[in-house]
Amino acid sequence: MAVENMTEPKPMNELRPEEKLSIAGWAQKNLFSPWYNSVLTAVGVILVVMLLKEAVPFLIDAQWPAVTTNIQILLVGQYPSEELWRVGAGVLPMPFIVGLAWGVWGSMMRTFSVTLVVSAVLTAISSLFGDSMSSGLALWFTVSPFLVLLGYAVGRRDFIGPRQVLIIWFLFLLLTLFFLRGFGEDSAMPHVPTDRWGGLLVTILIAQVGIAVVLPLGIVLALARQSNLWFFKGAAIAYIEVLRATPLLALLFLMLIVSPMFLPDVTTPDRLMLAFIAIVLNNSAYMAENIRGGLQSVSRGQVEAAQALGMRGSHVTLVIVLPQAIRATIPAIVGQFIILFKDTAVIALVGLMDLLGAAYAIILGQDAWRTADPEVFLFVAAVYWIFTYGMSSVSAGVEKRMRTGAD
Amino acid sequence: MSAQSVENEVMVQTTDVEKWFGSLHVLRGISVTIKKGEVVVIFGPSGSGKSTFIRTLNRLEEHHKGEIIVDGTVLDNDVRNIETVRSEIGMVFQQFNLFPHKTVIDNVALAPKLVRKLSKVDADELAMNMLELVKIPEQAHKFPGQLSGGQQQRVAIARALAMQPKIMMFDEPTSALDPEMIAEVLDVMIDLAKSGMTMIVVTHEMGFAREVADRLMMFDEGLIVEEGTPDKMFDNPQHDRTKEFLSRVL
Amino acid sequence: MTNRPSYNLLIYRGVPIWRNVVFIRLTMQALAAIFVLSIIWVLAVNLMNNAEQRGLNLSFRLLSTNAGFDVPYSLIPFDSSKSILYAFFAGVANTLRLVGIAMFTTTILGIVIGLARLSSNFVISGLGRVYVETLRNIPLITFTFFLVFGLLRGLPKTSEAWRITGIGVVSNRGIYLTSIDESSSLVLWLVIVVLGALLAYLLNRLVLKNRGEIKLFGIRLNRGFTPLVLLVLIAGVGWVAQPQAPFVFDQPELKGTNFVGGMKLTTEFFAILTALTMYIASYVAEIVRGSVQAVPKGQIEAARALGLSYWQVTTNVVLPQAARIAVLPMIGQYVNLTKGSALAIVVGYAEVFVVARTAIEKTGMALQIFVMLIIFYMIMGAFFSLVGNWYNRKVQFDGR
Ligand SMILES: Nc1ncnc2c1ncn2[C@@H]1O[C@H](COP(=O)(O)OP(=O)(O)OP(=O)(O)O)[C@@H](O)[C@H]1O
Ligand SMILES: [Mg+2]
Repeated sequence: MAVENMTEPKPMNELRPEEKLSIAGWAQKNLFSPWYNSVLTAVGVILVVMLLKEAVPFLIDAQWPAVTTNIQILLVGQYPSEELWRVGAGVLPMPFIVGLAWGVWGSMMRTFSVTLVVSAVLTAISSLFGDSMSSGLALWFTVSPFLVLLGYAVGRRDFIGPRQVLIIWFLFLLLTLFFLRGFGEDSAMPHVPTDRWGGLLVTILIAQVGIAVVLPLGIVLALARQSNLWFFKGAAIAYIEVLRATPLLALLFLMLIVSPMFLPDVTTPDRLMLAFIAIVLNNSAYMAENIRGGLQSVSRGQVEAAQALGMRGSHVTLVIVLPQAIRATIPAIVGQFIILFKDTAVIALVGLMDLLGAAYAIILGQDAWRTADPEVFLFVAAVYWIFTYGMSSVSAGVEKRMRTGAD
Repeated sequence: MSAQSVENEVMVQTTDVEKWFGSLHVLRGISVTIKKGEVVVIFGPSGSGKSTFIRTLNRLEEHHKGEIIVDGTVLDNDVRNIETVRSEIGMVFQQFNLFPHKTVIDNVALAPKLVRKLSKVDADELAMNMLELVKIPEQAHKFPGQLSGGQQQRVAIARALAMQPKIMMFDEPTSALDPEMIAEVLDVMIDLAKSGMTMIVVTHEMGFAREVADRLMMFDEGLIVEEGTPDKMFDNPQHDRTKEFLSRVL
Repeated sequence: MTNRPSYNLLIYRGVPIWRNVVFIRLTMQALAAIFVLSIIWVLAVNLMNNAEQRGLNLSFRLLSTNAGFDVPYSLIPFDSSKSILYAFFAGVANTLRLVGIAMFTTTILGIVIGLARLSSNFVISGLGRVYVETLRNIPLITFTFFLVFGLLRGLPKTSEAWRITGIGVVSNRGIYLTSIDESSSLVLWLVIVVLGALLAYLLNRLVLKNRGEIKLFGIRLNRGFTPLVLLVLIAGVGWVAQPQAPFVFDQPELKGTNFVGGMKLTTEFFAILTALTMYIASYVAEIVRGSVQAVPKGQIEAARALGLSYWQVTTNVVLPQAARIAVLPMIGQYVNLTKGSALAIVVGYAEVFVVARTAIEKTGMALQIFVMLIIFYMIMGAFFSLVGNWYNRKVQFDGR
């Protein structure tokens, strides 16, 4: 090829053509062409306008005091006012542990932690306007973001890993429960029965204890179902299939109405405990199925290799099979945690005072707020949304990490 | 024990071993005697029961009739006997079966820790020695997924050796490997054979068989149709099935 | 060939029995069985004691006694003199009505939103995304409360009812849909249609047998299409040829303070249907989106490379494969719908769970009724999983 035929090479830093699209060009491409896209855009814009026309006047006229004056009920239910410091102190470890988890697991936990921090900061700021929030509550929301950051700083250190976080979380959870429950009548922390617990506190506690119980239970059930011992297999199949078929709501009523018939006459079971058991029964059946999927994904060769090395059955299961199965199922496990968290709202239907139950009680119980149901339910929905959205982002992060294969 | 009796010590003895998969009669009476230090190569057509047979030797498969004695231990329903036999036989699989969630060194050190109750330090040191034996100490802290097939299979050999077994069994250790990796695995196996290890190898690598095997066994339809030294089997096979099969693989 | 021997493994070569694998397995199971059975035993003893002390009757015969309560808006005729069991089945029928209709509405809404999310138009996909992200991240029951409270208060009085021409009216007394009623000529028309279908089937057989070589007036007959045209023609002629159309449209009319005519949906039914539809549709939308995106890129590229147009690729390659991927998750959502229907208790629509609750309150037979309830839900679950398995097998059989 002749030298004079060679053209001047183009400069390297020229942008790809489509990156130079003007705003008009971008809109043209994405919104108005071909012709039916313009129609769609028009329909969409009309929908948005209609929504805003409804929503804006509502938000301006909204009776937010229905929420603000009742904030204590929504957060802790009927927990006695003079013992409130125990709630504040008892749940203080939670933001710290969120921070720890953020530090240890990194980007996966970021959105979750940041969402919670931002919500807490906004709540703290909003307490400056209006005086409906008690100073203790305002203080708690002011302190907790710093605890998250502190936890993050600690979690970044080498000496703390996933296992430590889980252990710390579990121990503090037990401690919190004891703290809230209290001891004898004339001790420094008198007994507060669970029917006084309520609001977001109960929602969060049930979710956390539920998670702590459901995962191990699900693992045991899944192992039983996969075992070749017919009794374990049969019992696990019966448990899983019956509980998966029954709606949680029916199970809840079953626990509250029928289960006392099976208990000795003298005992009066704790209603919150019964509701909790219903949630655990239901979710553990699903969790077992999730984990069974993971167990099935571990190849037979893994078991054989471990057996050929002379490892005992329990070692083969605990050291070789389970870790791989759980790793393969983490997205499904987190998904089940989200479901469990949302499931807790069902207990409002049997008159228990979780977050939703508290809202229900406010609307039906206080004449002043009889028509404030949109405000109160919107607030409650927003709180659920914040937590669930945060958890969903964790699940998305896990899936992304598994897809990219970084271990 | 005198040198003579060590020479003749029987490591594996099976008598009329039979096995069924459902109604499929997979092993139809296998009797072999393998002495200490012997290298036995098993070959034969696909589905003839080679894998099933060596897997009955460490109870990955249960046999239904006959008797298996490994280094004086009878394989029966006694859990303790099963554990003993398994920790005396090392096994290497066609698909490597390394534990993907553990690093290479953890793969090798795991069984010594759990079964032989070695301390972590001792187990790690042992594991490093084994990795040096198979010539990949530098990969110790990687995960199996980051290694080539040949390297993985060498780790699998090191893992089996770390239990300091008296017998090593290989089930087609090179058939899942790319051609250029076969040699590196066979080299390790040849070294092992020359060091005096008792070995039972299912393979169709006839070069390997000729170089190190003391005895060859031809399996067909759940029976040993012919056995003998490499020279006898390769140069003067008696049975028609053996002739036919060897003419295809050689 | 000899047969596999069977012999007693327990007595084996004098191995101490506690080290025998078979024995160990048996003992472990026996211990577990004894443990479980003794728990059941204790519970049963408690139940007997309690029943005696509180005078509970645990017999299932009681289910055939008079109900003494009503099942409002029952699909099958019911009055309070019928048995409790009958009331239960009235509830079952109402559940099936709710679930059946909700399956339909949820699927439609879910597909619309799922396709919206897939749109390249960012206003549309943004709206779809907001819808899905909002609903999926709050509990169904919270949403139901929000919606039901708002709906029950927000629906207009009958005099100010919202009218949607041709479809129906909405008011706080209920939702009245324009209904389609049969007329006296329906039977004859149905006979004509059946005969037409038979003819179409025979024609199809004929075309198939002759490998599509039959021509009529010079036009080659298609299999499938031509018989369909024939059927439509016959049905159409049968419709117009009769003095009265086989179906008539019944428009709801305001008479006094209430509407007459049309098909009535009670506000309760409407509320729970709306809540379930809107909520589950957000999951269906994600299934739709996920299935379309799960169709391998190579499939689309291969089809484009063959010269198919965008629409041809979408309708012939993408959608059929996406539908196949979506079936099993969709069945999962129908199961969720079935279980979610118990939330009708929020509004009091008399589906099976609400009937069960009422029956328990009125009669105290909690145990018997819950057993019935669980059996019902297990049958529903088994039905859906049978459908799923059947589909799975069919797909495997057809090959991929
Ligand atoms: N777990 C099992 N269940 C039922 N049949 C089996 C099982 N494992 C093996 N078989 C059957 O037993 C027969 C012998 O199998 P085996 O794996 O021992 O053959 P092989 O000689 O190792 O063949 P290959 O060269 O293909 O590995 C085959 O017909 C096989 O299909
Ligand atoms: Mg084999």
